[in-house]
Amino acid sequence: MADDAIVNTTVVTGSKDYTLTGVQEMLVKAVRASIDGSGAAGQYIPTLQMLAPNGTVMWSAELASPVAAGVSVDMNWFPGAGGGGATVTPSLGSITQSWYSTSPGANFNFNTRAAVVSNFPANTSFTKLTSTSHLLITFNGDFTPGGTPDTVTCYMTLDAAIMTAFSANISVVGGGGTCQMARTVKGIAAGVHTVGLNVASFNNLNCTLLSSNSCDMEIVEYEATTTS
Amino acid sequence: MPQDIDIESGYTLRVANLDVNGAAVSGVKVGTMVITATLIDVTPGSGGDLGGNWFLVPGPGA
Repeated sequence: MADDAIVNTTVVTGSKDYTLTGVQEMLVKAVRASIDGSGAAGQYIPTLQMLAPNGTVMWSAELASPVAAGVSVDMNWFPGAGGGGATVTPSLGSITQSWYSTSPGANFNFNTRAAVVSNFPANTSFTKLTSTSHLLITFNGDFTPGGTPDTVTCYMTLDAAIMTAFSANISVVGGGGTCQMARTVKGIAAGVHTVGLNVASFNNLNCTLLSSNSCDMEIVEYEATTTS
Repeated sequence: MPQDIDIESGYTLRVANLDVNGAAVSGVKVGTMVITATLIDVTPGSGGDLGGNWFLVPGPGA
């Protein structure tokens, strides 16, 4: 017997239910839903549930990773799909999510030419939603140099691999220094990744990364319109 | 979602948006929802109003 489409186009805040009535009986093949997260109070997990007549949740099919607040997704559930049977459907040109660093409680001191892992950011976990997306990662941070002359270098890392570096040449002591970096990345698999920042002082001077209040890192995940 | 889901009157399919603890997240809206299914004892593509803003999409011959 051929399949049918049962549709409800109304927009509701909260959950949306379809309850069978009368003598209805059906074999469910797939469910699609457009989720508007623009007003979400926090990150959310789109979930398809089946409820028994008394309200008991018989099963839940959840998206493997939460969707960031403000992000909208078009969900598709069907048997055999991984991650709970739900996926984020990439839409070319769309921004899938944005991520923002949080600061640790203290600044970070360093004094070696060899780069060391700093304490920034405090939230090192980033969950990439699709494998097709690109990432735009930016860093803007201040530091106090330990003396002059020196070259202080900051390295953004993803899963401990250095993505990009910026060196600030210090010729005057008394002020501060700033590192500003940006990088686009493609070919990164969906799932949980670790972001970080390494730092170094070329002349092994006692420098301080002002990570407690003067650093920020941001990640924008987007479906690029080109693969180049 | 599981395979071979055969449901009848009184059972509900729900799209919800939850936090990691299973509580509903406020402010999230659900727009168009489409269920693809084989309906028992219903002529495919016949179309119709199922109540509660749910509609059975009529086929090209309806």
